[in-house]
Formats: sequence, C-alpha cells, structure tokens
Amino acid sequence: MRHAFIDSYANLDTALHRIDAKKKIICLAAFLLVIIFTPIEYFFLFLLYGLAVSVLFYLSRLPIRLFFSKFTELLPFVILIAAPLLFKKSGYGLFLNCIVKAILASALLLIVSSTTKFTALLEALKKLRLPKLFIDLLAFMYRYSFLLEDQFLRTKRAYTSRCVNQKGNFQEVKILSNMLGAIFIRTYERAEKVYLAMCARGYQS
Amino acid sequence: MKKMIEVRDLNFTYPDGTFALEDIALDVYENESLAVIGPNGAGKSTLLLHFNGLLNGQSRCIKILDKDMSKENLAFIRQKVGFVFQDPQDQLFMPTAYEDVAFGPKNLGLGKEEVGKRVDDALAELGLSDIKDHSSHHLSLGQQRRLSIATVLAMSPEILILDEPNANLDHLSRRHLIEFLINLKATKIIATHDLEMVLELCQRVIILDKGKIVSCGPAKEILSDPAILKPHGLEVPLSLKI
Repeated sequence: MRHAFIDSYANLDTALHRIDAKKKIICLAAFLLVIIFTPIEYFFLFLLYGLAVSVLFYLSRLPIRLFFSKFTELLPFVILIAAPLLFKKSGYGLFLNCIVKAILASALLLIVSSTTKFTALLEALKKLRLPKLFIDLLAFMYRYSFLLEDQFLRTKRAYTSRCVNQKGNFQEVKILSNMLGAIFIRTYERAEKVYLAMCARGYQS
Repeated sequence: MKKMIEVRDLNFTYPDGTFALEDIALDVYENESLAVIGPNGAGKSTLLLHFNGLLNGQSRCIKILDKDMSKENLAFIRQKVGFVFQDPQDQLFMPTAYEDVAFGPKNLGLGKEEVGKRVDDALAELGLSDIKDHSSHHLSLGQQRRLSIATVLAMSPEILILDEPNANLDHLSRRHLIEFLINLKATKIIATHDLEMVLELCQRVIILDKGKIVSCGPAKEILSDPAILKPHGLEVPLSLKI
C-alpha cells in the first residue's frame, strides 16, 4: 500500500540533507528557543526569521505543496488552541504571537524531519543521550504507524465494499466508532504480541 | 539421543477461562523435526508459546535441555529456543532489517563486533544482505518471513520453533523456505497446516485437537492413515494418495 512517509524526501541529496543529523537537531533546538523567546513586538526580527526559514526551505528542495498540505492539516489545531486567547485583554497580540511562532516552529520541524532519514534522527537522539525508552517509543511509533495506516485503509475498504446504501450520517458515525474500536483492540493485541516477540529474543525491561 | 524438550502433565487455561491445553506430555529429541498439526483453535500456538516461557501454565511441567522453566533459567532458555512468530509484523519491530536482526544478539550482551558478525552471517545465510537497511514494512512477505528467521538465527539457538512458517507464501518462497529448513541443523518444532511440507521436512508428527495430543508418531505413518486424520478434520496429503 501507499504511505505518506514523514521522511519520504529524506533520500534527496542537497547540502541540507548531507549535514549530520546531530548538528541539525542542535541547531533546530537553538533556533526554536530563539523564536519562542522573541517578543512579538519585534516585528522586524520575525520577518528575518521568516526569510531564514524560506531560504532553508528553498535549499532543502522540498516541494512547496508539501509545505501547504502539512499546514492545512496543522493550522486548524493551532487556531483551535490559540482561539481562547482572543477573549483575553490585548488578546490579539497573544493570538498572533502564538500563530506566528507555531508556523515558524513547525516549518523548521518539517524541514529537519524531511531532510533527515528517520533512522539517522533516532541515532542522533541516541548520541545526544536522550533516554533509551523515549527513543524506543519513537522507533515503535515510526515502525507501526505504517501498519496502523494499512489497517485503517483495509478496514475502511471492507466497510465501503459492503456499504451498499448509505443510511444517513448518524449511522455512519456509529459505524466509524465501531471501526475505531476494532482497530484499537487489534492494535492493543498486536502490542502484546510484539512484546512477546521481544521477550522471546531476550529483552528485559 | 539427547532430549531437548520434556513436557509432562501440562495444562493451560487462558485468564478468561478458555481452556486451551490438557495433559500434554511430549519429548523432543536433538536434531529432529516435529510437526504440530490440527484444526484452527486446537491449541498449537498456545503449546508453542510455552516452549519459550512466553506463557507459563505450570512452569514445573516443562524442561528445556534438562533445565526447569523457571525465572532464573528464562534467559538461558530464550537463548537456546528461537521462536519465529506467525505474523512477521509482530516479530520485526525495529526501524531497519539490520537493527531487527541485531536486537537479539544485543540482548545477549555480546560485544559490538560479535553482534555485527552475527547479523551479517544471519542475513547472508537467508540471502538478505542487500536489504539490510530497508524498513521491514516494505519487504515482500517472503522476505519478511526470512528476515524473521534471521532475527532468531542470529542468537544461534539449538531449538527452533516456527508457527505456520509458510502461511500465505507464494510457491517459490515456500520452496526456498522448505529447502532452508531441511538443511538447517537444529531441533525444529513446526506448527502448520501444510501437510505436504510436513512429509518433506518432519520425521515425527503430533496431532493436537481441542487442547489434547490425540496422536503422535512417525510422519509417514500418521499422514497416510485416514482413520487417524479424519476425526480431526485433516485429510491424507495428495502425494500419499497417488
């Protein structure tokens, strides 16, 4: 099946791709901190950040539609979280602050995660001495996200093929929730099996 | 002959009360291939899981290489007994094939060089050397199955347990797998529905039905006797009918 990889552009070869993953993570963290701690009043600085991010994006040779497709997924959540700020005193500034910083930060994250192979990223995090459990969790998430997507697609396909006449929206919501329940249980069972498979090869937690 | 596995009076009930195994008694000897056959839900997988201490009904009932299945011996037993799961997706959980194969040897506490050597050897033995950096999700089922076996071989086990190793394989992959298993020098216990493979590969067969061992004997003898097979939903393989 076809998958939307988070690192599907990691095989390109540009200057950005060639930089060591560890350095990329450190620079990312530093840049993020600077962005977060810049007060929103320094409008000029934000223009500069925006320019820097655009240059990086250009250098990475990532297609611009990747950028937009990710943002249409992400922006509603950001707006939802930031919206309550609008009701505060001088809330507009805070709201803008939130949105602008979120956009810059996620663009940077997108650039780093799309120009680095996920395994290289994990390796780098290991070198940066992140807790092993945390890295293991990330590795599992990456590994099984494909499977989860497959499972969902398959379940949906099976549903569509048997869904001859639509019975209105409420029915569909009910079916969808059942579907999610089934997927959850299967995921849970798989987790248990994977744990057994780990034990079978001598894993000791 | 050296006794590899000894099982006596093994009973097992799942936590929800589903009863799965009853009075299992079984000996497995060095370098023999034993097939476990029987209908779906007969308890084949449940039985196999016991050999690796992944389920412990009554741990006193099982001895592996003369050692009791106890907590202290578990690390030893899991090194000696390799388990190949039915669904490779359960077994291959690391981001790349190489890391998957390295997982077991690393847990054995081997040095970096030894781990590398074992991984390379295991991958080469199964003809997977050129896909070692691939994510296992993007391999074909045949490759995934071979990789699952490599992950276990890298721990150099003496006993190999395979749960339906050729389910869903295409003809050629199945053939390769059978040839590989025939040439592999180890004690093998194989749960399967593929009776033709059993004829080629296994000297001995046990039939499991509703949690009990209902017959046990040489493969050719059992598989050619419809009176034994039929009551348990099995039939004589075509090659023995001709």
